[in-house]
Amino acid sequence: MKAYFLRLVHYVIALAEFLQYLVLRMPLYGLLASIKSKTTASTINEDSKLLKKVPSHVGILVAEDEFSLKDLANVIVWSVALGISYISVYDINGEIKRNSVVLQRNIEKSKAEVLAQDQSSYDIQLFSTSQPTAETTSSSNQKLHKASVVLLCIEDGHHRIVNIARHISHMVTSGMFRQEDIVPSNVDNFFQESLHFPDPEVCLKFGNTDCLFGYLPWQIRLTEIIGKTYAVRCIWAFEV
Amino acid sequence: MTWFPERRRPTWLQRLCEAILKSGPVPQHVAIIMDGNRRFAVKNSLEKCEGHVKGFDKLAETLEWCLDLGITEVTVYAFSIENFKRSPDEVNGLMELSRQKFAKLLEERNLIQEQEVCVRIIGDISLLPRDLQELLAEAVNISANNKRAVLNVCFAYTARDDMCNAMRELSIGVKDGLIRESDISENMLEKCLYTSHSRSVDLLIRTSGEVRLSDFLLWESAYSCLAFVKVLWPEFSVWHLYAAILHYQRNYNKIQIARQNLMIERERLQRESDHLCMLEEEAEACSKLETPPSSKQSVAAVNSNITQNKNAQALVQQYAKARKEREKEFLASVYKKRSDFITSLLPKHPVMMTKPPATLISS
Repeated sequence: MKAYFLRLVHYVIALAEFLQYLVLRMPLYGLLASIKSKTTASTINEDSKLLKKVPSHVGILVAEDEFSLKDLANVIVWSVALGISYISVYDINGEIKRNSVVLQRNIEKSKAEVLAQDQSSYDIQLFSTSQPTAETTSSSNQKLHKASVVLLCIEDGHHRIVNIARHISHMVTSGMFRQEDIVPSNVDNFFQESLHFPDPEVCLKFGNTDCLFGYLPWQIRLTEIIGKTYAVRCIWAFEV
Repeated sequence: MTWFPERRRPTWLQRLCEAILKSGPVPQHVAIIMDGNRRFAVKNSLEKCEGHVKGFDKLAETLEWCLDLGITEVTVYAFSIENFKRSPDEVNGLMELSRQKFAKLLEERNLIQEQEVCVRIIGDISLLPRDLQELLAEAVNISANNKRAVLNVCFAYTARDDMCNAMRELSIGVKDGLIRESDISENMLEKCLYTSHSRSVDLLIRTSGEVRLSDFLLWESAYSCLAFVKVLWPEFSVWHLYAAILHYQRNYNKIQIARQNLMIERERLQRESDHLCMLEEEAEACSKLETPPSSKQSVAAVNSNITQNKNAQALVQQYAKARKEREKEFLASVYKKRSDFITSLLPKHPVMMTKPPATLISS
């Protein structure tokens, strides 16, 4: 009896959320159609001037099983156009990492759409921790905006901390590092070296589950975690 | 106000909600960032310290709600290492408040035993004033054997500091030869954290509408349900708690699946590492016996040898057993070091009185 009632409560909440979603999305769809043509590099540039501060590293946490690489590519391109130079994309199963080629293609397409004639001045480098790309040649020097996108999966979470712990203990045993020096500021350097990214200031979480699913536990210390409903508005802010 | 306020009878509505919520999954371990005391003080034009006092009262109340719901472990963020950077006035105020509250807790020691609450301190308490350290140590000591519920108080804590501490313990272990570098795994690091004796965190609540973790349980909350509540901590009510639990239940299935996968993955990694280490060990043993061949050849030789003998499985099991022995011994030494530290802070001459002079302490 109680269990049934609880289930009912959950259904009601789900229904309410669905309605809220409909209400929020409806006007959005209409506006989106009219605005779509307007999301260009120049409009985004104007928006970025309105913002007091633009984060340097944005994390994109995909916490659902089904996602569209096209939307993901759009979010990445908008972020780059906004002046964000580091973007990390995480999903627990490494699905995105495996599909990096498709994502790259989607990014190129989205770049052509959103940035149009400016697209040559943006350089988006995609790489993942398991296969780091070689530094590109000098041609990229002429490009105005450079951004790196790193694809992450579960191995970059707890596992990375363990690897660094092993590395440190090796150095301590061989006398290259003193055990008294194992303090957050020093250990943080190892993490910076392993990823070459600053800590994320913002983490956009997509999906219904409110959980980090092992996204960069060391680096997430001061990150603003922005969930689904906010994410819509946030991208909205990116767009408008 | 005391740690164990007079029980207010819950209204019939509360009892009904409680009963309904309990028919679904209820988190075993809830972690709380009690944020918003200072904003509450400003909003109600109180002194900052007043805000913190109100915050403590809310904590005592919340613990009771949690127990009623069957939440047996609660972890609260009382004082971060970063908080030492606040104005000296406020830091002193907070220290004084903690002193009073823990003295009060010791005064109510019979109530702790009655309620069977185990108090643990999470963090590097050696950073605190000595007298406060002693109070904390005594509170930990008298409640250590209580089983019904656990209250973890994060004091002079940051998650990064905790992880560094674990790394230091592991490095010392490797250096002293208690464990090997290859023994360092997610499980081992987890067992070296201050929270090693705790269950995994199921639900993390942060009040005041901030959406950051602020260096709180970073490792432990990687697979917890997060609930950011838009209310200042002193205004937190039982309804907010119920809502957070509903939120947890909505996320329960997906998180549970992720956790199970994580466990399977960890076991797989461990087996792989055991296998690899066993091969290396055998290769070493072989190269000691037969002098000339280079190590690569000998690994290959051992490889074929082992597959021929079909002994590999047994050897891996043997290696795993030895590794577990090593780990057990190492962890025992780490835990002993910690409990020795607590013991060293206890009063040298135990007071024989069953009840401490209340007037002295409460003043």
